Amino acid sequence: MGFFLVLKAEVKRTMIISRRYWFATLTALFVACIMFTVFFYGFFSGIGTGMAGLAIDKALGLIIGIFAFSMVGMFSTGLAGMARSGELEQVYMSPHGLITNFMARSTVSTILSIVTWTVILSFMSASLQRASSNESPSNPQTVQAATVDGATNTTTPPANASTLPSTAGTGKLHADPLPVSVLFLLTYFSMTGFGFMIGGLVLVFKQVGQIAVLLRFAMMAIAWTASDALYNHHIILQALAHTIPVTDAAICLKLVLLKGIGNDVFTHPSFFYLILNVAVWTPIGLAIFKAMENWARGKGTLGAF
Amino acid sequence: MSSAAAVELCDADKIFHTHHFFQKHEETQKRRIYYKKTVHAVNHVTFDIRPGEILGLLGRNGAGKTTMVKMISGLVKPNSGKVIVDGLDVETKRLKVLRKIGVVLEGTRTVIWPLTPMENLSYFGNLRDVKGKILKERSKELLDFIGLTDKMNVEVRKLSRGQKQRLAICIALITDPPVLLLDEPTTGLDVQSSRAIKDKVIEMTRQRGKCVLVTTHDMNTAQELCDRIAIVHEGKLAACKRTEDLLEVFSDQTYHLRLDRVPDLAPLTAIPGVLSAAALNDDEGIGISVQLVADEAQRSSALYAVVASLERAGVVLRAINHAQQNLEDVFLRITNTDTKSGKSS
Ligand SMILES: Nc1ncnc2c1ncn2[C@@H]1O[C@H](COP(=O)(O)OP(=O)(O)O)[C@@H](O)[C@H]1O
Ligand SMILES: [Mg+2]
Repeated sequence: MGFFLVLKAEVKRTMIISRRYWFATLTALFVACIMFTVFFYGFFSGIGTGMAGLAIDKALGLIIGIFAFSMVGMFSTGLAGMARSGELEQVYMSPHGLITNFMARSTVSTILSIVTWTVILSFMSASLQRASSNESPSNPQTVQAATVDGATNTTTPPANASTLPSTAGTGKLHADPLPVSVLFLLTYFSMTGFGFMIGGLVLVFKQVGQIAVLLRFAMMAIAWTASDALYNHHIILQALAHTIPVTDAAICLKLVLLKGIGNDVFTHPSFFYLILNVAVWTPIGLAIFKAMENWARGKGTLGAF
Repeated sequence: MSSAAAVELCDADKIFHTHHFFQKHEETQKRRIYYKKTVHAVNHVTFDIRPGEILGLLGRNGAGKTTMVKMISGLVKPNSGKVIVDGLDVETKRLKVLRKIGVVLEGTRTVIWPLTPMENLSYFGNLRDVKGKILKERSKELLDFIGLTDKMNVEVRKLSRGQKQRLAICIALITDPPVLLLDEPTTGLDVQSSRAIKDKVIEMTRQRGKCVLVTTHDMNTAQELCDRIAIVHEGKLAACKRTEDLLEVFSDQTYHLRLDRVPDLAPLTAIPGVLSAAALNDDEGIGISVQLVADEAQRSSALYAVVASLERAGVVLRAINHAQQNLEDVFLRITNTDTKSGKSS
């Protein structure tokens, strides 16, 4: 119950701020759009047309990476900043507790990043489609529609996802509602579980924030390059990669959204590892966070110290 | 008796340990690979606050006031001892206790800057389960009470520091809690702003029967605002008395003797019962100030002896006055004797 109250308050606050500073919001979005598009346009034209599939693959990897990056960021530098400014103590004194609060915050930021990336990806896909249109005529709306469906189909089941015009090989997104929504939820939970663990450590050991910066970049790189080619690597490397929650999430999402393996993903080993990640990271993360919260109370580091 | 108290600290104790790597040691100024520092921030403190009362915690920076406030609000866990709010133990019933207290901690970042006061109140109200019509009415009422109605829809970042502080008090009051904790509410504010805050706190305590804890390092604030004052020194309570009583404690011990000249002070300080003697030279004339012991019989004979000694020296005695004390003197005296006794023990 408390979660929804906090969620409502957070959503309201975020809406007010982005509306009040609409100019800043828009410019930030615009700059991100341009950078992303220029980056991929360069990449795309470098390797020649007809490779939009690869470009979209990398784009998706990057987006998942950025999501992981900002999620861990929220729990590391974000949390440390809140402790410094006194906001953390304020939140701690709300009768719902830190965990509920941070759950709500991470939900809001997830929704926000999904919305943002939908906009950016559609912008990008529009230009990609135009660039490759002489080779295979396509609907510039495809990726946008697919992404919107994929992103929001937890609430609105897409009617047109399966009836999208086929643009196979040029980066069509297969937004199968069931696997995509399951994968989104699992990704969210494994990431928050992991985030809570980092957050708990940051509460007591402020230096963890610096280590987390490395971790954030590592996660971004992993998500960017992750593919099921991982299974050809050395066993130790595999094990290491599987412990990082973003790896299998990225592999699964890429398989479903890009290769269109649909429900087959549920039998893929990476799906198993993703479940394992959720099953391990969520309880561990919450337990560590709870313990560290208590410890931080003893050390007085919920505030600036 | 104790059940009537809204807030109780029973023998609360807090020791902080901090670990330092590759830093200069504070005392020796030598760089160490590692050293550990221990601060006894709150040293076995016991006090209570009753409903309808303003208790002031007066102490220097680093005395441990904020730590006490944080212990009551559950932000810091005491090493030992109990903190009880409205009959509930903060350790075991923290979330319930949070519904009974409003806290304003130091700093202005406790309010959200890009939002307006009204939006701040609704955000924090929502976080604390206040919603709908009650929230709206109470927000309006509070802003009106504190005098921010005209700034209701102005972003907080455009408000002055005093206005932000007043808003923080409103936010703390949004759940209408019986207990209000204010950590340094007037520090860094101009005279008018701090005046306004003091007036409102007093008004609120009297009208609504709230129980208020105020920390400050400013004697005047404490003297004007508080019904009772606890002097905190190095984590210990050096005194905890009604404001008038506290002022009286020492006021009957210092006497100003107006004379025609300043006599030799050495024979005076030799008199048993005289703690100190100092020359006076202010707009009321010249003379001496003598500080006598607290014990009444001893003080009386000491005073006779002082007068006799002055007479023997042939000094003209014009007047003997009770020295009017302000809290600053009291505070300095208490904390000084405290450090002395602390060092000798
Ligand atoms: N979280 C903490 N860790 C270590 N030392 C602390 C912590 N919080 C406070 N202290 C120390 O405890 C003492 C009391 O601090 P504080 O309660 O903030 O004093 P005041 O509010 O009276 O100025 C100070 O010496 C301070 O350095
Ligand atoms: Mg303080």
